[in-house]
Amino acid sequence: MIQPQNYPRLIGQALVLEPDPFVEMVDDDNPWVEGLFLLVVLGVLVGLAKLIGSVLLTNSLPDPNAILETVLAALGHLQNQRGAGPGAQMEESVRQIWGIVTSMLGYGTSWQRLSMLVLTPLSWLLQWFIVGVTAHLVARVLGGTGSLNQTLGATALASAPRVLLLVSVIPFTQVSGVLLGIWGLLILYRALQVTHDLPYKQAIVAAVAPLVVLAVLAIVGVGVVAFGLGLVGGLA
Amino acid sequence: MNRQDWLPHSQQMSDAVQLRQNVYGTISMRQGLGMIVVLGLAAGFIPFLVNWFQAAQIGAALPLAQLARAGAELQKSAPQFMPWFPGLPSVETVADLYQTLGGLGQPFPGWLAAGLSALGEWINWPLRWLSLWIGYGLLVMVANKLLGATGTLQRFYAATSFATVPLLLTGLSPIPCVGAVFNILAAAWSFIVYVKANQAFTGFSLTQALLAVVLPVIVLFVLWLLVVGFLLIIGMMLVL
Repeated sequence: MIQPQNYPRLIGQALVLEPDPFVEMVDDDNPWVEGLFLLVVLGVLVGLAKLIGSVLLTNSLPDPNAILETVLAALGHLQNQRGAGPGAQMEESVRQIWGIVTSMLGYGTSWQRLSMLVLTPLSWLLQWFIVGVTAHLVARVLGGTGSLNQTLGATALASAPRVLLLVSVIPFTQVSGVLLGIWGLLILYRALQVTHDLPYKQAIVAAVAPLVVLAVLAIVGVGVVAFGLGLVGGLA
Repeated sequence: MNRQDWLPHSQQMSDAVQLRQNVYGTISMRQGLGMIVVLGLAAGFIPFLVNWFQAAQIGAALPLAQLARAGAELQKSAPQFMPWFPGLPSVETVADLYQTLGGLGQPFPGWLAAGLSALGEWINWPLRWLSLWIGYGLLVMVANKLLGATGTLQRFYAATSFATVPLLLTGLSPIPCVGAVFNILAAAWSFIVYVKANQAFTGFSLTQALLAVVLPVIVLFVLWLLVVGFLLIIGMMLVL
């Protein structure tokens, strides 16, 4: 049983691609439970950091509606100068985009920001499960020797770079998705190499395979949503 | 937790920027990671103070304060270039917009909003350096492997972390006029250190090590050209 006070050490070692944390996970009596617990703890902490950061951000900036109305007034003024019409459609588009942007940044006074506490760990768990299972299947096909239980435990550490998201507690910080994605991929590669005792080429294939699955799922998801919206629009 | 576990000795950093080949194998990835974070924070400290001071003067968060300053600059320079663009009546509107946004006010006092935003921007320094180190490093590592290199990821990232040492100079970028010179010098020096570190890691000739470092840029540029060309063709087909 890995104690939570060891999580910072495990995450630190995983970040620098050392084999020890993966070995520790694999040798544990119940690796997938350890992985699950690690992800939930990290996810809740990051969700909390985002929540605090979003409150500080909202109080450090003007009211989002005031910004939106100022921008819309300027756009209207520009259109008048060009002799164009009022552009109701453009105004609607700007309002929609602004709504999406503010919601993504956690900027505004909405209660929705509380959902970060639940949605952050939940989305991570779903991603971990898809990545872990896919990587395990591919690794086994390529000659890997680890069990699914061990793979899930070790691949949970691929979320280690997300510890950087704790800086979200300070508003205006930005952790690049590319950094989190690539670093996570490198750790996933090491996790599979250690857990399944794979040569580096096979480990690369097993680490990249879940990305393909996630990309396909994302495309299918977007397609379904677009089709649904089109259907709703057609009915309306 | 020992300092030596997470940071290399200052002599190692000094040797690395002086391109002493034997130093690049003496650092661990853990020390490289710690060094990047510490140097990033050190480089961002002066810009943090400058940003805080300037944003506090306007009494707004940094992005809005920067907009307000840009608006003021635009308003000053608009009359100079307006005659060149007679069909551009929007410059003053844009300048007004920027200044209005900067003056909207927020629940927090101006100094606090300015401080928090400057602090966030400061924390972004090491985060950006880490992105470059990890993200671009992976592409260079792929190029290295294609060219026949055999080392591990850990050793590669450890060696190339030294390339961030010259970037310390970018912390002087707020100095008027010479700030830009420091930025160029830092980028060039960092690139040279990166190539030397890659050479030490791979054992390649200098030309091969250089090729592995620039190959990702070339590939990304070609891909970008292809995507832009493809979009242009699609756009033209739609128009015609």
